[in-house]
Amino acid sequence: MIIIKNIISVFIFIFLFGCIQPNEESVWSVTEDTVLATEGFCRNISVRGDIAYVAAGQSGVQVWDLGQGIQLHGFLGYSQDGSYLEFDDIALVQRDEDNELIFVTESNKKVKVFRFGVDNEFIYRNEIMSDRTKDFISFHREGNRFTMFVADNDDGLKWGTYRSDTTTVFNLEIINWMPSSGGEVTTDGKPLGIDSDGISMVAMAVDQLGVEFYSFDTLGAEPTLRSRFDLDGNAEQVNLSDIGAFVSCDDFGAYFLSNKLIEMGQGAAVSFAEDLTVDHISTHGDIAVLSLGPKGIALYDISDPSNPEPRGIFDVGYVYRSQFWNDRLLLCTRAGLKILTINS
Amino acid sequence: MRPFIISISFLYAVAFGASTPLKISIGYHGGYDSNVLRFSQMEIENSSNNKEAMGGANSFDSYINKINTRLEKTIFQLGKKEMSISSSLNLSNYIHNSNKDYWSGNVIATYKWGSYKNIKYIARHLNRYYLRHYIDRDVSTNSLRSCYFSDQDQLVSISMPFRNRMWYSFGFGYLQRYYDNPFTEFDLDIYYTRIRLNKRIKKFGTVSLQLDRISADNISFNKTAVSSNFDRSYEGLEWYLPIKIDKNLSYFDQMGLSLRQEIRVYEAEALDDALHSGRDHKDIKIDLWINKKIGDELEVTFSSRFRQRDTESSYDWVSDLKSFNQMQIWCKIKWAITYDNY
Repeated sequence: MIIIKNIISVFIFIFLFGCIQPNEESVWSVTEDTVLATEGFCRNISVRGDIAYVAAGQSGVQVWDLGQGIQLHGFLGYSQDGSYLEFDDIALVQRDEDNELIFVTESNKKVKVFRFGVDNEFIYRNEIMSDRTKDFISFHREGNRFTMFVADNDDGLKWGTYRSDTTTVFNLEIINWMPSSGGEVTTDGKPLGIDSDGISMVAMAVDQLGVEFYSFDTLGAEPTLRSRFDLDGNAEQVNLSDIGAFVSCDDFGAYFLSNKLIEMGQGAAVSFAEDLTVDHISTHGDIAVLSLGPKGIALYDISDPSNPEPRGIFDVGYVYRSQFWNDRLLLCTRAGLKILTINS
Repeated sequence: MRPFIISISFLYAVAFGASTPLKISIGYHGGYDSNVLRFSQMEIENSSNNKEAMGGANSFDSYINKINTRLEKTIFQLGKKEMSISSSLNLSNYIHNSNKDYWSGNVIATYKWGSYKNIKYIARHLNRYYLRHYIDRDVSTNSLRSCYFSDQDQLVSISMPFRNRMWYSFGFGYLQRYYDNPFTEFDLDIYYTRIRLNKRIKKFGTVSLQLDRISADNISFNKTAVSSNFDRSYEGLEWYLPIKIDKNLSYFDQMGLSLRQEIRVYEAEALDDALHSGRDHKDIKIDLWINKKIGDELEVTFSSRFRQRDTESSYDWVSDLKSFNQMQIWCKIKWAITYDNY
């Protein structure tokens, strides 16, 4: 009887301990929730609440309800002086809800201002800034005004505060947005990307010369150069966050510059994703999303920004840029606007 | 690793309660491996441009020291019925490539109820076996990381007589091949069915033929980042033909030859996975050995293995990359004793 007990015990033990468990990796995973088919390449996005304004390349400007996943409006062109003009290739878009405006830019062109109000009419107003606009960011201001900062590839940092100006010609009401103040700061670099907190700082990626930081007293005042960091590679985009600036440097990966470093104007930036080609970076909490063009996205844990930890590369198509929408991730891809969940 | 050690400890705690002898053997293997990292000819030629792929080693080959211990004990015996357990532990040390050091072990529980009649449960463990340095494509495009895996293999088999001096065995196996971080995308659950036919030939020895039908499931497919997008599942067939000669030998006690070949076909057919898509390979191993007993307790075995893997792929670079040759030579000295407390 004892022998039988022993034998049974042996086999129970062997079976209990016979299997091993797989190891767990430190990489995160992503779940692709929805793809909103924008037809043209989804190059850029501006989100207000659950509404996304999409720069859809040759498919023009589109308005999507992200919650329901439906396209509300699509504009392939616009009317100007009685003529209908088709968009060539919309690269950038931004919504100004307070002024009921949409700003759009075609590749290397000026910023076009459109009115888009509650009547859902898409009405061309005028062009502002100058040719070779690579990136812009705009802030609404009291009194039907807005202030815009532009990365002008051949001039430098341009800024201007605009107000609505209505004139009547032959009983025809013409509304334009005219500059009330503005100017430009020339730079030796070739501006490609721009970001601002809208309070006191503008950051501009200036290609081979790295990244430049400008400060201003109040929104609309002249920005002055505070510091410049020469980074390896071609600085293409910059993202200002609460903790500092993340710069995407194409073939040389990405850099993080802390607020302290920016303030001091010297020191070594934190380099990461050195072997990746990084086109754009967005951040949310402890997560940084690096857009890698044809290779998809790379996720990094930036809970310790001085040592970003890689959390995986995900082949989610050709990604131009990303933006967080609540806790989900919006990806501008060639296949459309993708909505993902990051499982960190 | 820990469950395996606990199992062995428990087994022996149980076994030592029985009043039967304990068989102990200790072996030392000295060997040489011509291609430790299983580099293809193309990789060997390009290695001077990519020293990191060698994982810090300065040579493709290495001398190897191995120590093997084996314990065997009968738990009970009643007429022809007998229950026994055995276990072995191997420690391997690669002189010229320390990454390759590893240990392995097994536990075998056998219940016999007559000649050629037995049922066996075998648990094998291979602990952190180093393959080589690979690029961790989950987070990088060029960063090399060391790639280790562990095996936990379990096999249940039953053996029965067939005809005069012939017997067969039939079994099912479950092999868990799990990789260490950061290569878990290669994790496999491998299920196999084994049939083996053995023939004892008068005045000659034993000839066997074993067939394994293998089905491997890539359990981490699509579970991690970009590198898990490819399905590494495969189907395979392995045949093994050992021929042991232990009669009519004038000087040696045993000579042997074995042939083993695995034919593997990957399931991946994705066009963007050139490395696996439509790939198959034939992996053949030829073993030769001679054995001489020196007295009752000591024996010496000389053995050699030649291994060749030929990979077929639509892409020449994949064939060139994944095909390799390997040669191993071994000398083993084993000391076996029986300890009887009663």
